Amino acid sequence: MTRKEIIQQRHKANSLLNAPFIAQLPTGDKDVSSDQPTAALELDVIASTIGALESGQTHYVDVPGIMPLREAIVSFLAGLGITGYDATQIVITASVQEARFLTLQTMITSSVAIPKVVHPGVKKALGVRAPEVQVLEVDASKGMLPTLDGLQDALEKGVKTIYLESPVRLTGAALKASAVTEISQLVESHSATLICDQGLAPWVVADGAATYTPILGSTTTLIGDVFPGAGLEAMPLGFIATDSERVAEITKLKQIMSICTSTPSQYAALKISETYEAKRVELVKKLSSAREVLEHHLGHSLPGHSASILACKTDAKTQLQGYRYADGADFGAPDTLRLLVREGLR
Amino acid sequence: MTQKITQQKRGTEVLYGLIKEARGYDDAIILGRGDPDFDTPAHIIAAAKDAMANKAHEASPPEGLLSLREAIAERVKRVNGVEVDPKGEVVVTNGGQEALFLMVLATIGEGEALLVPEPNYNTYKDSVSFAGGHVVGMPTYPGESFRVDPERVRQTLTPEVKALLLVSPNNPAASVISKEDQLALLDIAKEHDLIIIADDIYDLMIYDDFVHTSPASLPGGLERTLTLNALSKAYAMTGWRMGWVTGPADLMARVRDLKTAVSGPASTIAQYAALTALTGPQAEMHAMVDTYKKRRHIVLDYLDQMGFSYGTPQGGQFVFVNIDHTGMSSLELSQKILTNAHVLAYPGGAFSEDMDHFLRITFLQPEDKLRDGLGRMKDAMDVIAAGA
Repeated sequence: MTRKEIIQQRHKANSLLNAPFIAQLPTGDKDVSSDQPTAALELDVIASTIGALESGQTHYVDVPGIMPLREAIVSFLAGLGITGYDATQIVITASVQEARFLTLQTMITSSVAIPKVVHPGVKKALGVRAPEVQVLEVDASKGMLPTLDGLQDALEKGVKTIYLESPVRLTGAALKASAVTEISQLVESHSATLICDQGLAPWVVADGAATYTPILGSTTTLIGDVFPGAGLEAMPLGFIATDSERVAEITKLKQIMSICTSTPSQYAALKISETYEAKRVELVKKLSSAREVLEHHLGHSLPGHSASILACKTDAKTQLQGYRYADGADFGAPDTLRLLVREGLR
Repeated sequence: MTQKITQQKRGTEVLYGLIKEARGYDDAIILGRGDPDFDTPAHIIAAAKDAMANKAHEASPPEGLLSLREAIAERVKRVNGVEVDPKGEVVVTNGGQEALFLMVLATIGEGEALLVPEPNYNTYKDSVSFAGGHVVGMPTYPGESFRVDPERVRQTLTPEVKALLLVSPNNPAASVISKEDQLALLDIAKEHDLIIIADDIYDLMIYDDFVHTSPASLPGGLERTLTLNALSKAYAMTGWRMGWVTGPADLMARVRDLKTAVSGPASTIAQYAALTALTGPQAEMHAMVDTYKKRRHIVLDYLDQMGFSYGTPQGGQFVFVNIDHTGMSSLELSQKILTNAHVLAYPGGAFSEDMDHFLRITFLQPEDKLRDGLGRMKDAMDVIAAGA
């Protein structure tokens, strides 16, 4: 075999790397396959970004991101009830996918456990340099959240890195406070670490209110989208919040991969940060109402707390003809589909 | 005790440490980092503004916008003489650095090796190490103008070597690989079934009578060559992170999949800026290159005054300076110049352990600042010489 044939053969055999790609941005009005709300960039954001570029901010910046934006992410997280991080513990990434890649590739020692139903980007990120992957069973009645029994079993088998989504990217289901406490204790007692994608946290509505219970603590590294729903979709950013030691490791790999993150995106995000929280709260209300209408109309929905998405059984397909939605099979749940919630979608 | 840059401390970490220290001086002049002092031309920023206003919802596929890939294909044909299909043989990346990372991941596996002429930009080693492979270094020599001698490449090959890195003009040695040598190197690649990883990032910055030749432009070259380029250096767009990989469709399919795994599509806004950089007016880019040519002479004049020997740069944005006569390691001298003159020149040891008797000095400061920095460096060297 030639060298190229060997490369191709290896590539085909890598099922993780060949997991489906899910676009972050809709391709048209009838594309509801992404999971974050979209918005136009406001004029003051454009003006501020262009002002920064015209004043010479077109050069390399610090690998983990510009410090004012890292500080803004600390405030953004605080607005979601995620506290305890300072700006030096934040890394800005070129996308949430880059955040997945950087955390998974720097934090896994030998094996990792991931939920049976998870964003396919997780598998792709693992496929680049594949460790041993264990699968955590999920509970369909709780929106595909992993079961505590499965988590405990993986930890007892010696897995030292756990990857979770809360809210789940397919359904929007978020962990309740009691589950968060149990998971934190389990992970800590097994001297393991947890990576948690909390990218849909800004849209969580639980018990009728926009509240979210994050997983925190020294064993947890958080990742997510930077200021979703504010017009950054075409210039996306992700973030990582973790302890100082891991920041150093992640920064080292980030430097090797791409030196730093695109400056126009960072300056746009910085301007957005000034007014984001109030707009987010307003958007949660609107999305929540729109989701209720959609849920009523479709009538096949799964439990979920993120107002930005609605997951339902594939029975709903007939009502969705002409729409492009996310296929649950890509996430590991073939009988499920996911819609981006938009006002007026019905 | 002589300070040496060892494998235990990565070259990149050393360089970042020096930059951090330099930033602590109000009057610091950095003559080491490969970041052009020019800001991005105004018409490129205007394109970003237009894209932010009108294309903020335009999704990019992982391999990049087709319009940009078409512009890249046109550029590669015009500048490098290589014909690629924008639909399957181009992937847009977050800068040249990500392009390199993806190329290495695409070609090198666990236990395999990349043959790397030395000295070189240290990220090559870091990327190969991440992929689970190792580099097989092949020395080049100042007395041979850092030529990548095909015969020496042949002698250096090991069974683990699966790919060959060719950087022309080289960073940091600023040497250009001749067409004759590129042909001979391609023959070796064919003979041993090696993939060529070509770094063409300085292909527009060629001096005197030297000519840049892309390995992919040679007969039978494209089918086994992955080539990277970026807008960072030629268009002063380091912060935007816009680069690309071109190559044969079968290998590029893997590069594309790796791109989806590592980071997903690049910023649509930055891609529209890149499109304007490639298809819009080129006068400012050419003016920048002309300025580098002029500055090269200024730097060489000062180095002559300081009594340094060097290989005259054939391309790129820097000169690699021999410091053998000082009796100091490159880090030691770099540190002394930084402490005493607040001028940062990069230690050669950060690029290769065998290049610990070199400094890398860039042309990437305005003329007055460049003269100020080199003047201060000369004063510092006089003090060092007097002390010795």
